[in-house]
Amino acid sequence: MLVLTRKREEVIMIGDDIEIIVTEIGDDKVKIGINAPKHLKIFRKELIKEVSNTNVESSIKDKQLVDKAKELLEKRHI
Amino acid sequence: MKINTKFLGEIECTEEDIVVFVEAISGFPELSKYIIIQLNDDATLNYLQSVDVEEVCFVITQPAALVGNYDIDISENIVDRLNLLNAEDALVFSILNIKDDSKLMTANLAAPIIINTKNNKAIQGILEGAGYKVKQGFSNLEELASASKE
Repeated sequence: MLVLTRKREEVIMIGDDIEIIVTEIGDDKVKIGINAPKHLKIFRKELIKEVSNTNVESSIKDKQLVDKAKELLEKRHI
Repeated sequence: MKINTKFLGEIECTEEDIVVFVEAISGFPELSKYIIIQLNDDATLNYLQSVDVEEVCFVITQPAALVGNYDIDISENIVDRLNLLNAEDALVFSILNIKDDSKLMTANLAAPIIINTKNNKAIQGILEGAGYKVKQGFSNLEELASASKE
């Protein structure tokens, strides 16, 4: 892995059109700005993992669960 | 054509009923074809049933029915991949994560299913930085709904 040291507002270029900017440095976190072409997907890695895990959990195993959902939504007068 | 479904047995549908995911729903690689089967009269609850694997079936809901004002920005990437020409052509659903204890039921508002009704292409988009949760509980939905209406 390439490791670079940057100060606040300093930029890293990836290829010709992706800019990574360190915008804020805190005690245990940094804020990073990213300028990239719109077609690129940019997500926090843990969000992708959470979506995937939740999808797997959400696949319905039991018809009773469907009835529960119906009941709950009807109670909410949707 | 006939499709085997998890809860409704064999059902008849046409090619036009099939929604094709341009990117598989994560966690379910290689499954791109699904059908949507209405579960209640006003279509707020639906099955999202895999065409190819009978066992794979989700319950999806219209997020607007949950939070009132569910305003999302559909990224340019998704617009391109679905060939989405008008915002009105998009149909948006949230996958429900239903638990035995109904208090633990959640809706995925951070990664909605977006369907272009003009060509039946679909994708599960991830909304980064929009403030919606992957596991939005129902107990505090009222707060979320009233906050979004303000």
